[in-house]
Amino acid sequence: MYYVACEVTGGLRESEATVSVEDVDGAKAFLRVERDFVHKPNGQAYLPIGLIHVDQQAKTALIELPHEADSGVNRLWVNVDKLKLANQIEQLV
Amino acid sequence: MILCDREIRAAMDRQSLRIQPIPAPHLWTSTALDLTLDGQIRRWKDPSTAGMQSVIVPASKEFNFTELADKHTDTVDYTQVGHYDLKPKEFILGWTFERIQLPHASRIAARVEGKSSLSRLGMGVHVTAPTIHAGFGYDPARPDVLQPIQLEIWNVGTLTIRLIKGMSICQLIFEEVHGTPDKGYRGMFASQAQHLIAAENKNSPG
Repeated sequence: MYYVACEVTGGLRESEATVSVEDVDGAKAFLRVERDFVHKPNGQAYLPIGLIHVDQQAKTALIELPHEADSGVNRLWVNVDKLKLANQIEQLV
Repeated sequence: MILCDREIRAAMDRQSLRIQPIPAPHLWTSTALDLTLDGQIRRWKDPSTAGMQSVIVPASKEFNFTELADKHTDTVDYTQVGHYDLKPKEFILGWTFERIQLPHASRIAARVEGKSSLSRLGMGVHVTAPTIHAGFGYDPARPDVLQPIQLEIWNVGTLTIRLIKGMSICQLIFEEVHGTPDKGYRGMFASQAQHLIAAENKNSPG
C-alpha cells in the first residue's frame, strides 16, 4: 500500500475530512474522505492511494485517488518524494 | 456479472466486501441490498434569495466542493425530529447509515441505484454518478474504517416527500470486476517503485 502527503481541512460532516493532494504542477486536487481514513503519524497527513506508474527519470508517480476529486480527476501525477510506503508510515507512528 | 444475494453473503463472509451494520434480512433482494438514510443532510440554499454568486466552475483544476458547500448549504440534523420534508424541486445531500468497503483485490465494484417506490414519486438519490469503484473505502492498514455513501437526493415531483431516518433510501448492486486493476496489481513494477520511493524518502523527516 502507498500513501501520499496531503493537507486536511473540515468536511461536510464531523466524521469527514477534506483532503488536498498537490500534483507536479502545484495544483491541488480536493476530495472528502472519512476522517479516520487519513493517517497522521507525525503531524503530516497521508492519504492511502493506488500507485499506477512511476517515471524513474522524472521521479514522478501517477497515483489513483480513493475516489474522484472535486475537479473530476481520479488519477494525477505527483512528485515521488510525496509518497510513502506502508512500512514507512508505521515507522513514523 | 451482477452478484445475487447468496454471492453477496458469501463475499461478506470472506471479507471481500464489508458493510456495517449488515442490513436486516428484509432489506435484501435477489440481486441487491437496500441501504438506509442517516439523520444528517446538507440542504442547498437558494442562491437568488441569498444574494450569492451562482456561477461555479467545476472544471477548475483546484475546484473545492467543500468550500462551495460551506457557502451554499446548511447542515440539518433531523435525528431528534425524526423526519425531513423534501419539498418539490428541492435538492439535498444525504448519507447512508451503512458504511461499506470494497477491497480492490476482491474485484467487486458496486452501483447505487434508486428504489422504484421513491422514483415514481419523483425522487432520485443520485445525479448520474452511481458508480462505486473497486477499492472504495479500503486501506489495509485500517481495515475497520468503512465509508458511508453520499447521496444526491432530489424531488422533481409535485408533492412534498417525508424522509425518515432509517428508511430504505437506495439499493446497492454489486458487480464482479474482470481482472485486477492497475491500482491493486503487484508485479515487478511494484518493487522498482518501492525502491525509488524508499530512496527519495530516506532523508525526508516526514
